[in-house]
Amino acid sequence: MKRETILNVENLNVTFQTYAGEVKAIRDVNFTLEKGETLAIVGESGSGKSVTTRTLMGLNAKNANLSGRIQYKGKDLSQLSESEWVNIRGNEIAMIFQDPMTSLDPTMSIGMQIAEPIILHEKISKAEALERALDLMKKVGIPNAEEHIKDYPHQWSGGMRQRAVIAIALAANPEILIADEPTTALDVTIQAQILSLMKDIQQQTDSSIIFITHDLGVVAGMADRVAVMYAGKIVEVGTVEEVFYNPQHPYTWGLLNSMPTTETESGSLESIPGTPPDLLNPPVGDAFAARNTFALDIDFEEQPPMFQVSDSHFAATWLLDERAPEITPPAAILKRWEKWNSKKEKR
Amino acid sequence: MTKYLLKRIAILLATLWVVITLSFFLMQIMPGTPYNSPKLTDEMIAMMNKQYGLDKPLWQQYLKYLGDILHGNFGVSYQSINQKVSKLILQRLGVSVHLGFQALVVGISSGLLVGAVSARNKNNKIDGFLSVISTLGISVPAFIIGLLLLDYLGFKWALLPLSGWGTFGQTVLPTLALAIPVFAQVTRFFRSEMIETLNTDYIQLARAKGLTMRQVTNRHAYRNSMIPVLTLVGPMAANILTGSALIEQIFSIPGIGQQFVTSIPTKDYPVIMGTTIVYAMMLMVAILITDIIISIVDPRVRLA
Amino acid sequence: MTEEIKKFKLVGAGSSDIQEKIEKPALSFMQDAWRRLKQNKLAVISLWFICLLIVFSVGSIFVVSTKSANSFNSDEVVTYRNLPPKLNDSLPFWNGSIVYSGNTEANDAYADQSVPEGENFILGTDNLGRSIAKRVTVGIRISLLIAVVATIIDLIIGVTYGLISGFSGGKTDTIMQRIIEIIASIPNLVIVTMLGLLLGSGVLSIIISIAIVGWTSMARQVRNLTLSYKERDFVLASRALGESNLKIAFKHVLPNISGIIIVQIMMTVPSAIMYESVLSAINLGVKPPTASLGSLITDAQENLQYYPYQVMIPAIALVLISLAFILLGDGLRDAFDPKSSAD
Repeated sequence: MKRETILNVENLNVTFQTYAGEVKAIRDVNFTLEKGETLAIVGESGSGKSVTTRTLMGLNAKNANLSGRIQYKGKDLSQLSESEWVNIRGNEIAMIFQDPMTSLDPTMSIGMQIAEPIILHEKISKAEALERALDLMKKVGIPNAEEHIKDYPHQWSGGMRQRAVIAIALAANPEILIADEPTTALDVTIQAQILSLMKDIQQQTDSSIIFITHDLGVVAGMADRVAVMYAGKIVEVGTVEEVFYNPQHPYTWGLLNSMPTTETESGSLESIPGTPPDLLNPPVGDAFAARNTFALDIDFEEQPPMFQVSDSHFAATWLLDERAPEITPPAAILKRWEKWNSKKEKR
Repeated sequence: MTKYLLKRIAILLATLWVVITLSFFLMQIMPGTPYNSPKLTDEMIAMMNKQYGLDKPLWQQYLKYLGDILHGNFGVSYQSINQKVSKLILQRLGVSVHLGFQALVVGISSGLLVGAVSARNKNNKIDGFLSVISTLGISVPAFIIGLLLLDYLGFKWALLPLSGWGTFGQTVLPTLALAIPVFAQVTRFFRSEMIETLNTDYIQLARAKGLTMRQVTNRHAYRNSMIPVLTLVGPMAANILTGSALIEQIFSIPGIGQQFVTSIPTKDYPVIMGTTIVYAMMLMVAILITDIIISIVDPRVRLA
Repeated sequence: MTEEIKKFKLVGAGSSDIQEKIEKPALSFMQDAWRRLKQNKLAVISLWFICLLIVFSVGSIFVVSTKSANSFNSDEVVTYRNLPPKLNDSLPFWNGSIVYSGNTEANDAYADQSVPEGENFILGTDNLGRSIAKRVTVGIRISLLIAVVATIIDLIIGVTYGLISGFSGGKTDTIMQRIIEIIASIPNLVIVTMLGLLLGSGVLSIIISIAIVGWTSMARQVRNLTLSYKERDFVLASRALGESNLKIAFKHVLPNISGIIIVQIMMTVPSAIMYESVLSAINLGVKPPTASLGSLITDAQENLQYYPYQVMIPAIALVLISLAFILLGDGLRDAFDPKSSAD
């Protein structure tokens, strides 16, 4: 059941003016976010995931240039001034940062850091805000919160600090939570705890989450929909099921293949040879063409548009064009397609 | 925190001991005796040796010296006969402490203020201008600044008194001369610390909460940037000590520095040694106070 | 139509060099730093200034001997004392005229003392008739000599001490750090005075004093950096390959911290020069008639009001030299670590 769309990103382009030239970090990106859903954005380093999150918070560096529209609650965020952004950040859109060891002010108590956005956006007294901070600490699972509210970050472990960071993000009840690789810096057991915490909180608050990660396993566990980014563009987007079991873009195939599953046969793991292109001078055609074993002639000349696979599933690959030849994807992908077809029949 | 402070005090006491011991042995090596008159016969010399305890074995003399120092007895000046060194020093100590402290406070507070302005206006004309001033401030030795101030503000333009100590006006020029290098160092360091702090993740997170840049700077950046600057206070206090000796001479200020400078060519060793011990103690107190302040301000030290 | 269909032919991935094409040529760390340094105009000017200064100083050894600059012959009949600087009669300011205090009009000092035509002292003379230009040249030589030698000693002792302390870790490190703390808690003036009394004044003892006082900050920095690098993965990798600590220290850690060491050296030289000038001012410096910039300033101090050029000229020389090193040091620091001042 489709719920209301609260965020609509249209034709977003973000370039950075550097001494070497103009870096085109985000190139014509479109996506939407519905209320209560979790959208994952995956991609390798340099794909533009982090720039996307910074852009959604208005936190890009001064040498950034934006074009396009970011529709949120009737406002176009790409046009906001800094003084308008101050009302949005923390209040409507909040961010969970990646490294808990460096995201907290080492000289301010954790209780105050959690209370800060509350005091800022809700104009209540410090004492009341600290009360609310205490509740938040309990909500995120910090044991014996009363005793620890005056603690300083250096006294806590990484996992606990990340919970505090989550509490800070939740403090002013934002509509959208942006989580920028929130568990990458933590070990696997803590990671599982933090992820399950986020799921619980989402159910309680009905907030929407944009989840940035490079880990497809996390995507499978957390997300409703997933967008795959490469070289500043979204190459495939759909529900998690669609993208995992009916992937259409060769890059997605590569990503899925490089992830070991229980069915992976012994031998070496497949990786995608080569490196992402330099965004100072992006290639003329499809940015992935150079590394794409299934590239067509036209991939080197013209960028593929988004082809529709279903109501919710889109992929930007010339392979979906009716003029493209029939190709056989790798064996592991065929297996996924089989599963997909059998599931479809069941329905 | 107490463990930290106790450790610091222990180190300072060890240092003091080293200084006292060094000064004792230097005194032994130095040519020159308390009594120089050729009219003294050998018997009289032997008698005076006995009186001063100079005939005892070295280690006994050392212990006596140590004991004397701990009781505040620094011996008697060679130049000003029969004047106890401790009295000579105490007469002048207050003046030097006043000058040094005033210079530190003026230098540090102005440095923090200007450093903050510089960082806020990073890389624009204001910053450039302030950078020039602060770089000059550390390129010119304090005593040259003192001479220039004396010549222009004091002499040529007669704005402020040239010498002496007593009125507020008389403290201005010497304080300025000592404070300018301090100001320059603090402003440069604070500015670079602020820039580094403003690049950290936690400042990004503070902005993501919806704080304006001004709020972020006031509530998070300043405090974190100031802590490293505090670690500079020790070395700066040391520089002020060195510089003050000359400044006091230039401005005819009756402090221990002036006395120190005049006692060197006259080889008045008890005064020299006494003053150096007092200098060492002053520096240690300054360092200790700084350590205390750091441990109060920085929770990582306070709650280690 | 067939044209179009042709475009959809399967061609597969590009060659590996297209796959891994890098747009900009790779630069080594030093090349990259050099490129950044060149963009900093002040630093480049300072670099030129220092190079010229060194050439000038070394060259001047052959042209201006120390003796000719510093000696004065009281038997000589004609000495011109306290002449202001004169380059040429026709220039409005550098022409040997001076306003004596009490007068409102300038006097031509050269005419007053009947200086023969053509004998110009470019920077004037001091109260013993010695050419200030020569004395300042020698003074620069001596100040630079003291500063450079003291800095080299600082470097050798400080870096070695810091590396050993950082690498040993544990108790050795703690003890070594305590020693540094104790030395740092003794005011420099105290150490220098004691050494001055012990060793007497003169160039050698000043060099030793300054070196002893200065090595601690270098040692501390090197040790802190060593500690942070020691834990890095590439050091662990080297160790896993069986490299000895000594080799790791010199082959891996030292090149990485060399940038910071160079910056520290740039900052040590001016402080050594300034230190020496302070020492000269309290009579623990060079013995007269040898002149360093510091002693020139102090000697002329009493003449500040009457013959200001005698103080100003060596003072300006000292300030310019210090400024050049500091600006270069700043530039180098920014060049080695672009994040420290980047936008």
